[in-house]
This record gives sequence, C-alpha cells and structure tokens, in this order.
Amino acid sequence: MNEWITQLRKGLLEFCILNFLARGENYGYEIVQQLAAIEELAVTESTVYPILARLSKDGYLKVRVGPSPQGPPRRYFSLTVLGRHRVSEMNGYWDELNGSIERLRAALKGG
Amino acid sequence: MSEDKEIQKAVGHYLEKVAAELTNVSPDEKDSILQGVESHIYEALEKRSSGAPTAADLDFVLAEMAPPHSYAQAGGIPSPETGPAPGAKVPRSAIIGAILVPFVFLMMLLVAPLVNASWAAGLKLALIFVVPAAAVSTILGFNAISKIRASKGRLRGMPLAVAVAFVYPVIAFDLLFVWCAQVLGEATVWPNRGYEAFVPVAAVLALALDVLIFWAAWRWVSPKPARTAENQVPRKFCKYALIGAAFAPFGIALLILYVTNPSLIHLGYMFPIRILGVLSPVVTLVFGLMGISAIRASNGRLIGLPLSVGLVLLDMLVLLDGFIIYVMCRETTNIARQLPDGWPIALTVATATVVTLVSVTWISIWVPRALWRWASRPLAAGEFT
Repeated sequence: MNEWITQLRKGLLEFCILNFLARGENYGYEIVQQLAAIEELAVTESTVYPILARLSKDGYLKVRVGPSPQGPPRRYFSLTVLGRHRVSEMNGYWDELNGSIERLRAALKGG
Repeated sequence: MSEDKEIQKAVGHYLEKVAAELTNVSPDEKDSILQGVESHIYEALEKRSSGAPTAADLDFVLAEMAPPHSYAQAGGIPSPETGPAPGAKVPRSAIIGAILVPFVFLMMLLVAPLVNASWAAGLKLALIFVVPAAAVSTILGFNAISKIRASKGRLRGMPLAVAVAFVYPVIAFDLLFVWCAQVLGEATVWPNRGYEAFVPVAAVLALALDVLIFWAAWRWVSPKPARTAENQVPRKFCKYALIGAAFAPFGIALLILYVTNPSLIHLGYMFPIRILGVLSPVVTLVFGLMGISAIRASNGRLIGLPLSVGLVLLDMLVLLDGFIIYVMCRETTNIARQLPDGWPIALTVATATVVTLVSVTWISIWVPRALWRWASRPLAAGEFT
C-alpha cells in the first residue's frame, strides 16, 4: 500500500505544482508551504525543488529573480506557453481518468 | 565568529550535503535546486525570527526541513533503461535461431547441385528443407527481438536477434531483386547481353540495399530516446505557408499558359485562374514571409519553414532568372543583327548563352542559400518578445 501511495504522489506532485502556478507566478518557499497544506501529498522541499528545476529545464516554467527581505534573491516561477499547454492537457486527462474511475466504482457498488 | 557568518557556514554545510546527494541530475538542475533550497532556508528563517536570526533559529529550520539524503531521489522518475542490466541473458530463441542459420546455409549448398541438375527436384528439396528451416529461424529471430525489447534490460543479444531475424528475408530479397533486375535488363536495357553483364550490377545494388535494410532494422529495434518537452508538444503546420502554397499553382499555371498559349488566358472560363494567377505572386510572397516569421516565433511548435522559404523563392527566382534570360535574349538578338559581315555569330550566341546560364545558375544557388540562412538563423535576444 505504501509503495502505491509513494508512486501516486510522485506522479501527482508535478500535476499539482503546474496547477498551482497556473494561478500566477510564485516563489519556491510559498509553493512548498501551499502544497504542504495538502497532507496527503506529503510535500517537502526535497520533492518540490527538484521538480521545479526539471520543469524549468524542460521549458514548462520560466524563472524570474526578484528581491528578498533576507538572504539570496527570490526565484519566482511561472508557466511558459508550453507549461500552460501541458497543464491544460494534464487537467483534461485527469478529468477523464477521474470520471472513468468514479463510474467504475459506482458500477461496482451498484452491481 | 559573528552570528551571520555562523549561519552562512551552517547553511553552506547543509547545501553541501544536499549537493552530494544530487548525483542523478544535470549540473544546471543541481544549481537550480541548490539556489531554491538556499532561498527556502532564508525565507523560513525570516518567518521564524522576529529580528536578526540566530543559530538556534537555523537549527530549528533545518530540523524542520527534509534531510539531505532525501534528495537522493531528486527528479522522482528514473530515466528509461538504455542498455542491458548486468547479468542479462541472451534469449533461447535467439540462440536456437543462430544455430539454425549455418544449418540452413549447409542445406542450401547441398540443394544447389540438384537445382542445376533438375529444377523440379531442387525446388522440391528446397521447399521441404530449406524454406521451412529459414522460416523457423526468422520467426525465432523476431521472437527474440520482442522478448529483448519487452525485458527492459533483463535480456541482451539484440544484434544476434536482428541478424537471425533478417538474414533470410534479406537473402530472399536479394535473390528476388537480382532475378527481377535480370529479367528487366534482358527485356529492356541490354536485350542481347543478359545474365553475365547485368547480375553483378544488380548484386552490388542489392548489397547496398541490404546495408540499408539492416540499418533500418537496427533503428527500429533500438530504444527510442526519451521524449523531451520539445517533442511532446504537438507540432502544427504553419497556416500561412499552406495558404501561400494554395495560391502558388495559379501563378505557375498562368505563367505556363502565357508562355505556351496566351490566347487561352482571355477565354471567359479562365477568369478565376486569371485573377488568382495575377494575385498569386503577391500572396505567395507575403504569406511566405509571414510563414517564416510565424515559424521562427513559434519556438518549434510550427513547422513548414522549407515551404515558406520556397514560396518566397518562387517569386524571387522567377523574377530574377526571368529578367536575366529576357534581357540577355533581347540584347544578344540586337547585337547579332548589328554584327558586321564575317563575324562569327554562332560564337557570339554561344558566349551569351554560357553567360546567361552561369548567371542564372549562380543566382538559383546563391539566393536560396542566402534566404535559407536568413530564415533559419538563431533567434536574436529579444526577437519576437
């Protein structure tokens, strides 16, 4: 069960980050804090920052450096055109998958 | 040591530990992750401490954060297998197929004298022994290929499997190719020379095709590179290029009609072609240029650059080459008429023809090359932003 949950979280985290950034640009700390509120995802910095780096490298996110009250400058992440396209595709697939699974579960309960 | 320096040192120490765990990411990603984590630590420190942060605050923040060893799985998704794992085995079907290959060759050698002696007997033996054995060997080869591909690195021996799977189909292809070439050659190209003259040429061609077949087969069985962000995006053909291409034939048709039979152009039913043909040069030029611009700005999401460049070239080359040919023909005729008696007119016309051909060829090579370089040049900083 634990292994299944771990794999599911890994796949969903990228989906959640892209959806979170679809609302507008944000910086790493804030992204981690907001996603950490979803307890089921068990988000930590060690899972979010590597995904942010990979998504930036792949061209889904762009990074803007802004001032910070203390320490190094903040790195603001936002979706690129490619990223918007990807999040829209992912949402479409998620809706279809979710709908199908719900129908399957409902049919099993009913039958 | 001041508190600030102590904090910086402790942060640096933590980042070093994180960096040591980031072994499966590229240097750029590593830098990006470390910058993010460093920024995260200072943000957390600022949230925790009301004034200047202390070492105790940092200890608390670092204790709350994920331990450095948890970065070992950075990226989350492992890269696809690119080669066989240590201890991978060769599938049995590949081994049996490989043993069958020389056996089939041996049978072919044994059957060959009988083919010369009697076609019927040889064919019968070939059908009974050689063909089934070759078919079994081929099936075993393909079976081995699918097993190795599905094994995700647990099985090896792909080159052997490919050789076993393709050796007999390739031999059959070679024989068929040489036979067809011989029949065709006897019937058309060299009616009286036949087998001896034509077969070596066909055999060399067949060998070249064999190399291509094995190369294509190897590409087919080799693992495909991981999909990158760029090729995950569905690419669309540039609409401007398509619109320009739709207009181009009307211009060409009008030009051909003008050169071959101008009286047809003025017929009533030719009106649409006349209008579209007249509009064609402007439309193809404008839409070709718009296509180039749109494709360059699309960051790889639009395709059709060669077509767009071709549309722009169509007008440019027809105009430039046409102008040169027209001027050279007119001037050569004028000069030839005014030449004094006894002057070698043929030499003059030949010289003018060579000059025209060289000019037209040079323009037809240089202009497309220059336009392609211009259209496919790297985007300048700030271009299209």
